[in-house]
Amino acid sequence: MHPGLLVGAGFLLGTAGIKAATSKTARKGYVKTIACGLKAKEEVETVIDEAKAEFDDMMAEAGYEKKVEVEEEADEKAIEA
Amino acid sequence: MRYLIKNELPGRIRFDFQGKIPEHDAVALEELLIALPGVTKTVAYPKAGCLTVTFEEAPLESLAATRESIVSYLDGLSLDEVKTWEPKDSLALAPRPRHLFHKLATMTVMHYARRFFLPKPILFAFRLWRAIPFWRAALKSLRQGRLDVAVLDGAAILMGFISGSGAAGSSMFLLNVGGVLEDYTQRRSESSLVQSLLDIPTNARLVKGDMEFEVPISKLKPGDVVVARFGDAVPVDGEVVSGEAAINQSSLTGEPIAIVRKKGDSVYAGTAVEEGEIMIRITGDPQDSKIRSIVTTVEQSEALKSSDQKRVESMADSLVPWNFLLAGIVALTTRNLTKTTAALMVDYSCALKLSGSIAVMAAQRESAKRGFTVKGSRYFDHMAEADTIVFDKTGTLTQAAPAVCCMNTYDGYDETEVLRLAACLEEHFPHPVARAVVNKAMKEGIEHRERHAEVEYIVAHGIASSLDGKRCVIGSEHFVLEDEGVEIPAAELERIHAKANGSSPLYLAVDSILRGVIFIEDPMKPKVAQVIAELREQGFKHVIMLTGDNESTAKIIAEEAGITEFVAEMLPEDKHEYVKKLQAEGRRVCMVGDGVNDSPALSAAHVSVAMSGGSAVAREAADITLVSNDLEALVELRKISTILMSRMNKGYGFAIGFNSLLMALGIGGIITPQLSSALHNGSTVMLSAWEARKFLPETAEE
Repeated sequence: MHPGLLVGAGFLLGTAGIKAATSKTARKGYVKTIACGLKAKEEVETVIDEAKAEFDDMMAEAGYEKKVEVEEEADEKAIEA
Repeated sequence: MRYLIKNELPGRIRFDFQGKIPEHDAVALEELLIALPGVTKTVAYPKAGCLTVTFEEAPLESLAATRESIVSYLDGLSLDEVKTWEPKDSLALAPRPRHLFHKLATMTVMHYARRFFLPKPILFAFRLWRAIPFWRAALKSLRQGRLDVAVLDGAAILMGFISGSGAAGSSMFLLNVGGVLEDYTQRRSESSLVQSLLDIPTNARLVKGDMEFEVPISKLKPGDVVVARFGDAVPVDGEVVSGEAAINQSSLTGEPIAIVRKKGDSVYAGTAVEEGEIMIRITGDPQDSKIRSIVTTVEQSEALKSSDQKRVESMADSLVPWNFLLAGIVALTTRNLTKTTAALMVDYSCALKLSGSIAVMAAQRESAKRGFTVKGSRYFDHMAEADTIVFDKTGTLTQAAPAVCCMNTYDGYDETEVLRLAACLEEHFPHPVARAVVNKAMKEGIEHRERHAEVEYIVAHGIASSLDGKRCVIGSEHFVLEDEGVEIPAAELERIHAKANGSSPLYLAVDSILRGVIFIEDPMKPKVAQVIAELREQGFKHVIMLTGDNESTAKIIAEEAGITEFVAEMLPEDKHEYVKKLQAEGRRVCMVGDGVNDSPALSAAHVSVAMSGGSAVAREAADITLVSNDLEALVELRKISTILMSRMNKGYGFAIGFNSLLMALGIGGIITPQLSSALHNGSTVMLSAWEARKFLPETAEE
């Protein structure tokens, strides 16, 4: 690329660029992005909690089923004996 | 409250509150519901807005009835009640397992989400930002001239960035996980320590006119006068109005030497009276004083804890210079950056720290379940390596509920009179033998108000006082017959010894003439012989009993317990000296005791255990406190300690061995740094999971 182009781009970035990056609208943009990020984090935490709740339910059900089966087997053995 | 039942099983209901619940409300719901009869476990899911209640049949009710009562309770619970709920104990404030899970799960998901979603440059910047605290810590260590784990971590992360930041991200993630786990363990042990301290019985002796009453500390008000004697802890902040005492303020100021407090001096809650007796007028609020004394105790064990963590870290620290050396050699010989990275990337510290903390956390959790509080992880160490165990007799091997079994009387005194005099003298002292005498007098309905003048307690030997101008003494044979010079015909002494047969005779003399002998029986706890045999099997080469009691009684108890080495007629200083002597011989000593007399010995031993019935002073001096009075806990304690040590050693061995292998492979160019890093992280996680297993098989009661 033409070195002049680079110098020009650098100059623009240094002056107009900084102005743009620190302007009010840019600031609003940043705030929105951060807010989005926080919301995303909240969503992640919610999903994790819900998943855990479901998982715990499944574990409890599995445990219960196993208990019932064991009891039934014990009953059968008792009847046979 | 409005709710839906999301999921139900016999014995477990999940309630859905259809909206997120703030953390405070979640804890409130958990605590309110677990208080209901029959409820065994409550877990809240604040972000999901759910609450799970696990229950079994409440006493005298069917499962269905219990379910109904839980549901109707929730129906009747108002939002106000939940919002205004306050935690009543510190365990309610401690982090719960679900908090830990939530934190770890969030960290993991966010870590992978960032890797997946964030554009590379932003991810790089984020990681750079996250690395700053690590580099700050590394620079701090370097400035202090130390080449330790912090430096290695910093260097590893730096190297990670050079080879593309992914590995650095994983390393930081693992280190953060380790930090979260350490923090969780620390806060939980703090809370359970505070909880166990809050549980210590808190009564004080209120003085009203001539009489003394035992009242709970919470009932005291500023202006009340309480009395504190040898063995007592000062209950509340106050000012001394009469008397003189030597007070040990080490729990507050750290000074181990007792200082004398007289009229007009201030005394503080939680400090122990070593000698003497004082009347204190309360100036502080009882609740405040108690909290302050507990906070101070916890802070002291904080200092203890950080030195424990350092033990784990110093091992990792000592390997760091070798790591750098190796990396340097690799850099110079191969001039290959990738290989040098491999030498630095595999840092032992993650694995060592993480697995070490988790192992200790698991041990403390299991100990708490089984009823012992271990004040620091180094005590597990000492307990596992102890080869000598020293028992105090009264209260530790024996029931500590001694009772008067019979009496001899002489010189025209009858049993009632002897008992009355004895009770009068023994009334004030916390020693179990004194209590036995007082109890018997109470049972017989004998009155024994304070008819005597100042009482002199001659440590471990007896009591002397003046009554109606006559000098009365009561105590052991050594004290009354030898020290005080009371005469007795040899034949009578023989008869007394024969009659004693394992019980302790207490001699009462007035004006140097023997008036009575009270025989106090202190039966041994059940299963002591069995416990001693098991302890021997576990590797305690020497089992020793020390007692202030007389030789013949001691011999009989020792025989019953299966103890061959014992020393009788010991003073507290003697016990302390004895323990120090054993330690000077190179033995690792574990001391088990309960009485005030044992605290110097308890502090001196490598590791000390206090029974639950023990005095406040003993429980403070000891490193491990038992919730029960059962000696079997010692066997379990030893097992857990040895298992912990073996696990930690195996864990370290694995961590070092495996990681060294990875390093070698990385340097040899056989595997890429990325792969070795992934394997390193994976193996660390597996190691941690392995360390967290249960220690002892669950017994039938659980």
